[in-house]
Amino acid sequence: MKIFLTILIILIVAIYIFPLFWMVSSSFKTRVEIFSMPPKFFNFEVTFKNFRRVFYKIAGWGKFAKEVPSEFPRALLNSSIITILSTLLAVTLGTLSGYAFSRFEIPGKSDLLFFILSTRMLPAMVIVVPVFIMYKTLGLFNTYLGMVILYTVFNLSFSVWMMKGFMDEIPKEYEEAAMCDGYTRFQAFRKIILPQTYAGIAATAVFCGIMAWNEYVFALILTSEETKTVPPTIAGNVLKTTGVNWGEVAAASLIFLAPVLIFTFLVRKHLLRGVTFGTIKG
Amino acid sequence: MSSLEFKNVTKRFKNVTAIDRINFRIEHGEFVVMLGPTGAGKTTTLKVAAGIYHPEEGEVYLDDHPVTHVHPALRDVAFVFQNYILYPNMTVEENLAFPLKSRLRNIDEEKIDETVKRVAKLLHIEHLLHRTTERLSGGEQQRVALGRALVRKPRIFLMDEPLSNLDAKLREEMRTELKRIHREIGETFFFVTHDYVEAFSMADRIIILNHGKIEQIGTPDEIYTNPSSLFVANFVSSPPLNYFTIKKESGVFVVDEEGCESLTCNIKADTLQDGKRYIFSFRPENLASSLKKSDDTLFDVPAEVYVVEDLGTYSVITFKVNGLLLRQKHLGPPSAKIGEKLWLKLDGNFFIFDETGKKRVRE
Repeated sequence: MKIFLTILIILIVAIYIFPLFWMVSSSFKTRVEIFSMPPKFFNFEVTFKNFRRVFYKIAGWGKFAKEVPSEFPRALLNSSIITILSTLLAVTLGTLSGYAFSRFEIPGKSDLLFFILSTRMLPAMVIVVPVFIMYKTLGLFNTYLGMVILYTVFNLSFSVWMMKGFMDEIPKEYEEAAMCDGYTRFQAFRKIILPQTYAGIAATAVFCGIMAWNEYVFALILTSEETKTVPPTIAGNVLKTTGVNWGEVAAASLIFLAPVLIFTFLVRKHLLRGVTFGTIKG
Repeated sequence: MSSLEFKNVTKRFKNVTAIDRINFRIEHGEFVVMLGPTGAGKTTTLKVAAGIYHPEEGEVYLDDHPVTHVHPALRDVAFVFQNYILYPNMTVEENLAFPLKSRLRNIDEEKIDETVKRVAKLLHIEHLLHRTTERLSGGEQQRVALGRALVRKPRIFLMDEPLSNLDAKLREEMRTELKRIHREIGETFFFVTHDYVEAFSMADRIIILNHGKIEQIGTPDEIYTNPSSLFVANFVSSPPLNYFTIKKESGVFVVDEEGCESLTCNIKADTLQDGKRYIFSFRPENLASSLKKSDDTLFDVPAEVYVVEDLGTYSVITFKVNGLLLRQKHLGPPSAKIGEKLWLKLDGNFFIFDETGKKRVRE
């Protein structure tokens, strides 16, 4: 039984890991080896050319060809700024409103909560055109502010619902005790409640961050040169006059994926506690 | 001086009235216990006193100043919760220091440190100061919770069943301990519990609350010997009070309960009205039994011993008279065997209430 289970787990892990493995190996392969039949898993010649091409593209032809810096570093910076700011905003607002929804008598509370959730119900493709027109009119097209607002709003429903759930788990007696001990409600929230929700905040931040980092449709339509994020940049480089260069796509994707992997790995303890909050309690 | 007074206080939650026009006054230095069953509104009363809840009607006074809508932090009251509510992100020491670090008080670090150490010593928890709160036992958590109230000199200590989560032995110890602390510091204590033994062992006065209304206020002795309603009499009785409905028919009392046809009851109560129903009750400790019939036997038929419980220091015998089950409590081992026929009589107090049990009828 135990052997069977081990084999099953190895199989499932292999299925999930394989695309990642293929991406990593492709990023170190030459163009020819990526397509070689039978496929080469380990016995290929390692090259870093793909990574160089991610940062320096070839401009010109023939003997005029030379390396110039690509737009990728800029895109990485854009993605970072937009993701960090929108995640911070979404989590902060979500934490505060989650607390309010959890603790206070708010007229039409359930309707409001449903309304917040409903902002998440339409697919991006459906609302991207109206949003584009609005952004053009308001001057938010191709700005950091525009993208930060968009991703904050998009993540807010998730963040509010998650944080309300975490707040509900904390007995309201904690604030009551702190208030009797001589503190205002806000001080009680900051000193007593907030530290108890760090796990929840970490979990919410990871999910919001990943969503903003990976978002493609809005980024493609609402950004141009200056604020373009990584996903449309990689996609834009897929097809070139010389065909699809999968090695470069794989290398760019790997660089793009790294921060998410590292961040998730760092907060994995909180993440597990956050995700299972309230379900298994010691 | 620190007194607490409730004048006509009503607190509602949506359509539920948790406490209903409550009036009482606690004087400085008193130890008052509010006693009542679960859901009677005890915790609500305490939270209204603390300012956590604001009442819809009525006024709350602290030291004769109206504080009905004053924030808890500004009332200077200490609250001990049933589940202790220790701050999990802090050590025991930080928990104890927390009330003193409030900006309202502006106490310097040295003084805080000194106070925390003094209180820790008072409660015998000096060795726990650097532990995190989740690694404490129930009794230790309870002491820390108490300590958080004792570090300052609040106007009044509000305690919401702080002993109910402790095991029986520790609970008894802490009762004595609390009483000692109260005597030592001489402050006003307002304590809430559903355990009448706890109330009787600690209180100077007891307030009995039922369905959001005060049934009776009095010293433990008054409550025990002079209950104002069937509820009070029954609530402070263990084993449960003996009571049944009687009806006066041309000068003779007849038991008016199902399965007790034509059972007459020998009670001397001349002031009761003919043709009306009353509730007759007495405590298990006031029931006596004998082998021979005498003038003062309660019923005109003997009772059969139905159940015998030996509880060590005392025993409980349940008698069956027609369809009526009556309990007797006496010290020592049981004096009767199952199936034995004995004559019952009253040895001490009995209480007669009106038909609803809400009002005592003076006999």
